[in-house]
Amino acid sequence: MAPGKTIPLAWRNLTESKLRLLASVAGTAFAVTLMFMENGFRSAMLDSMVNVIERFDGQMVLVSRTLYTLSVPYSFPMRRIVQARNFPEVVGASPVYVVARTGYWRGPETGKLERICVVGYPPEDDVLDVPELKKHREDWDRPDTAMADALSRTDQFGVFHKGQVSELSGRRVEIAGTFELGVNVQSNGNLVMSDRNMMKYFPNLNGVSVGDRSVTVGVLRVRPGANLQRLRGELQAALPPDVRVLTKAEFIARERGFWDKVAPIGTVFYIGVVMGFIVGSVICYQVLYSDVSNRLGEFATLKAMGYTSMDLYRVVLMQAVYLGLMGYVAGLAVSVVLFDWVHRATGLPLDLPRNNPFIILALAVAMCVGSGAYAARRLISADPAQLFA
Amino acid sequence: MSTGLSSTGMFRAVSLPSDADVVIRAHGVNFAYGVGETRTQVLFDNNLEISKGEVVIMTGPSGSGKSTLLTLIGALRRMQEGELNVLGFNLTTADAGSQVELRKRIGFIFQQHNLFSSLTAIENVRMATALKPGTVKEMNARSIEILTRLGLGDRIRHRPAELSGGQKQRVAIARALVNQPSMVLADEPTASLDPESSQIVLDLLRGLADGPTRTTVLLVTHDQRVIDKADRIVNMIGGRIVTNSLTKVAVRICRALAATESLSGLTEATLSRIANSMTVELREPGETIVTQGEEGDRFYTIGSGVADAYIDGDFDEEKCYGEAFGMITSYFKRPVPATVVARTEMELYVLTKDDFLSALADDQSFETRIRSLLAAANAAAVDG
Repeated sequence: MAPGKTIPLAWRNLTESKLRLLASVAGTAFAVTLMFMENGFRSAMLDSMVNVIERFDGQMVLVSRTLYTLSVPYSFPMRRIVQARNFPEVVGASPVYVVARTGYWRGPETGKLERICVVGYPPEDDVLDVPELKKHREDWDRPDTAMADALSRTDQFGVFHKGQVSELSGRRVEIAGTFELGVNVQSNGNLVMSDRNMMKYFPNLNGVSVGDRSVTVGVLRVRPGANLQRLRGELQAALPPDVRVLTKAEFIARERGFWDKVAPIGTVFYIGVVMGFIVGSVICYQVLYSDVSNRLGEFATLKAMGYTSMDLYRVVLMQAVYLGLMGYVAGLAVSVVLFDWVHRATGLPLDLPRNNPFIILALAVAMCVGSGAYAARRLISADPAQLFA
Repeated sequence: MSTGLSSTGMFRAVSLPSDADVVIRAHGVNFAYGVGETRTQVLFDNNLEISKGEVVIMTGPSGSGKSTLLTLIGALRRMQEGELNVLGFNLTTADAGSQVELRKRIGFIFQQHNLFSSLTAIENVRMATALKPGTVKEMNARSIEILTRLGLGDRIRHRPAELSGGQKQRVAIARALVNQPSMVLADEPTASLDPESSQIVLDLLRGLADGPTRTTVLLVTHDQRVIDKADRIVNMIGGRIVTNSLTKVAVRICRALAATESLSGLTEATLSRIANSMTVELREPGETIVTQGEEGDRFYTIGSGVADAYIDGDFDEEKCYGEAFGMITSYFKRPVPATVVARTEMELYVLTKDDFLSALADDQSFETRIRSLLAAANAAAVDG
């Protein structure tokens, strides 16, 4: 076939040696996979930490002024919820009780105690937007029953099933059914039970009166069309300062922000992404630098013929883009397989859509182009005058 | 072309192109590598003019500065001192952009083919056509045509790894010539070619020079076959152009040296190197060329005419074409052995003391030959 308008020099240089190409793409794919996994872990961790909040069927929340993360559930008195209900724009307010650190499940087969996160609310309020919980509301409204999260770590809790009887914090409990919510880095398993059962299993939540009960989150449903920011301000002004009023989106952002930057687990994974980027940059640089070095005489000849340095840079940068794209595709394929494997093994919500594949694509291309630009500096030493030496 | 007069007063066959045709004009060109204490000057006050359509050979020993001069002419280095005008570009003041523009009009042929191993022969050539773009069809046709002329018509889809050394070099030559450059700068273009391929390449270069484009060809080469195709030989030694002669004269000198008994058996390359160091001197009948007993500083080889040799005032012998005489007293430690007087008009090829010493240093076989002549002369003196 006759050559076309332009000669695809960058592509030909990159693909000339299949073995070398394989090694180059594998190196780049390794870095891409590393970035995908680190970013995946970061997103999964942050998403898992707001898993419960995202499913709150309400637009605003009340939380304790001292609460900084739902995993360390500071509480406020139930009467604040009653006060909030008095606002005309609030059409519903439900208490949510969270026991993150003091609930222990005894494995029916092993007899071992495992810490488990317990969430309680009035079943009739449908506070959590989880179909199984809504559907089997009557089942878990019964005394001494709870719904179990089927995505809980099986190596710790085994497989939950309906009718299973065991012990929760020293009291007999029956599993009324299962639902799917997912675990996070603070809890490997979840139970949901009615507010009445919560008071029985965790009496410290109870107060001298209903108004004194220790509520972790108050979920508020507001009238459709209400101005959330204005309402938030009015509620915050009207309620005592022991509670903070947040929109659901603000609550999610606070929780993510805590784990991302304060904890700072998110930052650790973010550094992992940066490390992947650096590793990839080094690999790409090595690949491109050695290729430019091997063809220095050829590039010098092009310079002698009248090609400008910018023309030659363009060839190396195109080569870098191709390498980035090929490495990305290979890394993406490996990451999809690994996401599935890690999700199965840990229950963490790892999947492609939440990992923003376009950002990783941009990073992969930027990584290779940056390295290519640096490696292309070698072209400066491609001195055509030396060809006459 | 005309005959010029050298600064030493001897006549040399020098090619001086007319002003209108000059495409390379160098005046007082100096060049040095490094700065400060490491500064090494490699070109000294070089003057050169080459015209359109000339084929010029540059020769000289390694380190003589010919490659540096070539890179300056090719705008591959920046000028430091002197004036250099190439194809209308004033390289003394040219910026990087102008240098690139000039290079696009030059076809470069290097010793190393420097072909992209990832590209086929035609694609390598097409890398050059991109600098003088046309339609895809036209660029492909141009590339195929030049490859075919160089005997590679059936190899255009082959990659360099599938070509022989000579074929690769011919692809590189095709790449240099495909845009019909105004000038070709070549470094040993035929070094890796077989005789047949060399002939094709040399014919092609000569054809470009004689054709409608009147391409100027400047070659660094030691290939004696090229002499027949060249118009001029520029010889450099120690950073200076020492001879700038018509090759026909150089050929005559070579032939005369080959006929010289004391130099018989030396290779063509050696004779050519010696010839490049020689100048031409014309003598009238009756003129005394050398005088017995005086200190001599040059050797002569007779190119044409007849001379008479006298020892102690008595006629000794007749000297004619191919015979040598003269003496370099400081080297051989003896005076001129005979007086030589021109009987007819004579063309003499002269090797001065400096050129003689430099020829000795550059050529092992010449030095060996001179040493054996010296030993024989000493033995004869002892016997006498």
